[in-house]
Amino acid sequence: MLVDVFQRLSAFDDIHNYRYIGFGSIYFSDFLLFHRTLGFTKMLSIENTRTAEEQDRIKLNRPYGFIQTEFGHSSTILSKTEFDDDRTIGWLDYDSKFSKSVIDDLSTFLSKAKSGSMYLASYNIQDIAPPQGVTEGRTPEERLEIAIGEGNKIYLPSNWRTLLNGKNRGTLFAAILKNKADDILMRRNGPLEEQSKLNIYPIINILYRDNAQMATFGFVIYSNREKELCDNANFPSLPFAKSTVDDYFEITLPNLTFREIRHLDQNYRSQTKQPWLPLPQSDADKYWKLYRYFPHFVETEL
Amino acid sequence: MVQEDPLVVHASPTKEFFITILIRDIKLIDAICDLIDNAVDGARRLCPTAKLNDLFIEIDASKESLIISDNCGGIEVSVARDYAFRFGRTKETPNSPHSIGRFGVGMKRAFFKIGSKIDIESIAETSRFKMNIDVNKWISPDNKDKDGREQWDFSFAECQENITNPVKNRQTIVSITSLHPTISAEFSAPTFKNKLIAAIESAHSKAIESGLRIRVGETDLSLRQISLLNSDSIKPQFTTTLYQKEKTVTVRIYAGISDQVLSDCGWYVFCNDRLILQADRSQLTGWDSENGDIEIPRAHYQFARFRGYVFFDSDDAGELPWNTMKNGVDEESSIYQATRLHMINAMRPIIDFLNSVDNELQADTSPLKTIVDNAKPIQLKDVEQRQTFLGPTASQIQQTAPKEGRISYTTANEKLARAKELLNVTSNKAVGEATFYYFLRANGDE
Repeated sequence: MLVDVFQRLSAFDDIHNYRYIGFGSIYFSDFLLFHRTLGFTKMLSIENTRTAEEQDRIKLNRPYGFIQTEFGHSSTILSKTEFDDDRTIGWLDYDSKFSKSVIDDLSTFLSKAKSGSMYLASYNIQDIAPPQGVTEGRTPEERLEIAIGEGNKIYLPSNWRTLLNGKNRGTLFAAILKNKADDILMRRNGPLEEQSKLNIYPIINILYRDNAQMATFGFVIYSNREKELCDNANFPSLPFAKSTVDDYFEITLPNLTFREIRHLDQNYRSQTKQPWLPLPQSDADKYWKLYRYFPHFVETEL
Repeated sequence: MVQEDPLVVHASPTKEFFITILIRDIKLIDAICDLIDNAVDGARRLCPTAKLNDLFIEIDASKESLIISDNCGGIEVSVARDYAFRFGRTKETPNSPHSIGRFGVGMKRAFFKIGSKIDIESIAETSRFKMNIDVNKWISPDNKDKDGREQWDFSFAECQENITNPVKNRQTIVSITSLHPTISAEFSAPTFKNKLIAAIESAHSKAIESGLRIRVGETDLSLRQISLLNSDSIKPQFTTTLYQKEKTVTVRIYAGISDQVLSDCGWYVFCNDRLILQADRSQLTGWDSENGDIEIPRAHYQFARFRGYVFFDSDDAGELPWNTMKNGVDEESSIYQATRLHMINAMRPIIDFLNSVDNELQADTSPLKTIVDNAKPIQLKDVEQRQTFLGPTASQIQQTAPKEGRISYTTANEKLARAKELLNVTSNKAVGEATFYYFLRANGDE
């Protein structure tokens, strides 16, 4: 899905020229995918590790020599990274719960990224649990305040108390990030002439399960001068695009066999299930919603 | 008697507002610096591109008076008549490129702050004048114009126009007497002169660097050099951003490390080379803002080496983010808010580095401290453009780390003697070495 989004960025520039920033870990799976599909060669992986052994392991697993690795906290590395020349896609895929680190990395990224860049963050929304601080016996409201930090409370949406449970947390955290982004841009835009002023266009607000309930929120950054390029990218036509924080696209995968998938694919045009196919219609609908991105797997008989 | 229009709501200012209210917002030293600003502007007008070597400003503060004299070009009669003594700046006020004076309030506020009799004598290029202001007479209810209305204007005591005065004769002398009692006491305090010198040296370091001679009493002010540490492995950030709307504003940010002096640590902000904020370590400049695991913290001693310098420059001083007292930034200013984002980004890697230096205190070796100690100060004008602060790489740290370490411990003499016997050695040092290698061999490492 993200490859589909990134391809649309070619409205701004040759997609090969984009720089990708991510948290590659030791697997670099996103780096592999995006290099193979989009040809990125300017790639920076940030890892918050300081031990020489872990750093050596990450370097050892770097799939391509052009992948630059930087070790340290993401906010430090992002603030040290030069953004002037490249349009940048930053996918900050946190393996942790939503916290003030996410908000502040957004702040650093957005204070530097140029028009045509894209910001994405993925985080765990299973519950609200700040990485530091005593949480035992605290109410969700108190835990949220600790998680996002006192200084970020101003970015809470007015209805935040109604968004503390379940998937609503996806809306809550996306709203915090959107409000923070608006604030940063307001400050950054102040002294800029009209055509250079920057805007954000939210596209991604996806909820999915990956052991825990996860969310990915993201937007494109564009200047008034390049608004037409952003329009040409036609992001709203992406079937999963969501431009408001309280509307999300949920990935729910039906359990299907190869044979069932083949039959459903054959009926794609009408998107009606063969009458004899013993599947609930809801599973078929879920499949067609995501069929292009459905995970590939192989059945084997032992 | 003329019947007043009942729909009129009076909104005209009162003289008391300027004399007793406005002066509360400014400190005495800032008020004197405001008067000096006018002279510095004059010097820059006189020599916009050249050195200011032949120009001087002399400040003499005593129990009885404050006298500021300069040879920085004087004030033309036309400027004095139409602009300089108005309360507030009019749209028609001529604009000197890169000037410090901006608001049309500083000089008058300084006069009223300090005393009640002000004598001004000026010789400019094409005119000269003398003016005596008696504040008590000016504020008197009897001070009315020919139509019986409250008189706001001052009068020249002498005034000549359309003459030619050579550069060497041009001057301005401002003499303030009948000092307010608190001001007189302040001028008599033994520490006042030193405080004034420090403030002017900081505020006008660029003008002093350009050759302008400023003297307080018998003391010639000296240049306070600004420098940052630099080496192959440590380099300060230096970035330039140009904001172009109707007017252009250039913002230069320098950030790095310097001597470990907490009182000097922080951000320094200059507008048109005039220091307006010094060693700031508050939220105003991005300190104490939470930022994930790496916080831009309250300034602790471990960050005492941090220095950041921001220079806002514009031909139109009105575009710059200073407050009217020029002792702080206008934090609502859009240009300052945008710059503050850059300041926080600039600070983060330096704070991270200084944390690492601090963490070495608990370690056996301190290669980072060695790297910092080996770095040399470099003046701002010699700092090369760099997007971010450069800290040492892992290999530079490794190279600096000592190749050998020292272990020491104490033990009972009785046991030590027995160990010597068993090891067949005679010195304590030999026991230490022999037992160390014995341990390694026992673990198969030697």
